[in-house]
Amino acid sequence: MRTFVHSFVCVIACLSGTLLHAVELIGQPQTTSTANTATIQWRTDVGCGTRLQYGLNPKALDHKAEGAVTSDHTIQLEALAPATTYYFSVGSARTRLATGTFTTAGGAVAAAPQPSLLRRVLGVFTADQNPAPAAVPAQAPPTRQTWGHLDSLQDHFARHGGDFSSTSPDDYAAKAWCLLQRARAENLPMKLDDTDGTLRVFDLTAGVFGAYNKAGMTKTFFKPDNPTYWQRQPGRAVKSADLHFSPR
Amino acid sequence: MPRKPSKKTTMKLTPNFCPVCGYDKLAEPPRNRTGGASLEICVCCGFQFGVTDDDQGLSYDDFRQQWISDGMQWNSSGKKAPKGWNPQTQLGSLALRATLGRVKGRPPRMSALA
Repeated sequence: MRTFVHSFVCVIACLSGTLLHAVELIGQPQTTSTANTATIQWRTDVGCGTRLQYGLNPKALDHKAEGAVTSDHTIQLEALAPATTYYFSVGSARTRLATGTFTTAGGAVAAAPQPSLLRRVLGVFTADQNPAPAAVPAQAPPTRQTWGHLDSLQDHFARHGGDFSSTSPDDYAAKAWCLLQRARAENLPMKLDDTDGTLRVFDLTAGVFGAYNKAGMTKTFFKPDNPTYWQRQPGRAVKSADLHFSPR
Repeated sequence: MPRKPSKKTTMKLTPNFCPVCGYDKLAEPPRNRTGGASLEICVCCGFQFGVTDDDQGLSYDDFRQQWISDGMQWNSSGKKAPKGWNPQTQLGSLALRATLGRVKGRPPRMSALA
């Protein structure tokens, strides 16, 4: 009887040691992407399930892909939108091991190497120190740096993206950012609402309206139908040199 | 002896609520204190402050009636409805706000909810 109890305890100890061992990630997930596909690979110290969750919003990874139990995990995603940043998390059904992003190729957004973050921030926030009109940068920063409330982007894109033939939320956000840069470079009509710091911009020629928060991030971007829409917008007229965006 | 008001029965009033459907978790108030619109799209009913009204000319009442007759569907495709979300309860809160005089515009017509 004692031998049986001893064996039983040993078996339980071995099993619990196996089951309770926390799976660990080896290195970081590797991503490779084309315009419409992406491959994400990662390694774990022991075999475990393969699950990748991904989406356009880091707070709502609403798509899921799964694979076999292994320690070398590979997931291939297809039918992705070009020039779009996707957020993902990797792990198994029970644990989330790491998160990351990748951007699909194509379009104007994901081409040339980007200037440093410091340079881009300085470029956006120091309008008063650069009074001379500057050329509009061809490439927008990542959407999370240009759009105010990321979780609202999908709705704004769904409603107004068609006004600009935008192919994706990122493309739409990039065009909104470009309007602000162009407004500053070409001194387009701008109104600043001192109450909450909202800057409203209007391109008379194209009939395009954009609104930006006090950090210079987009609130909305669309083409108004009403011809008097701009005249009725609140705020005082400002010039590019008067702008003082504050970091969020 | 007068009873102290219970915290549970005290209605929490936030300025970040939608005057169309009563959703109370907007990112910012629909209008600032000088009347400037937030330009936010209500994730619940889809009203965009400063666009649906100022550009398309729809009033809160008209849009609410339309939303109710369309079945009070959750609007946002980027943000999911909260667990247990109930549009009728939400409209009830809006009606209560209206009776408290905190809302411009008419409360929802209860006959339309039936």
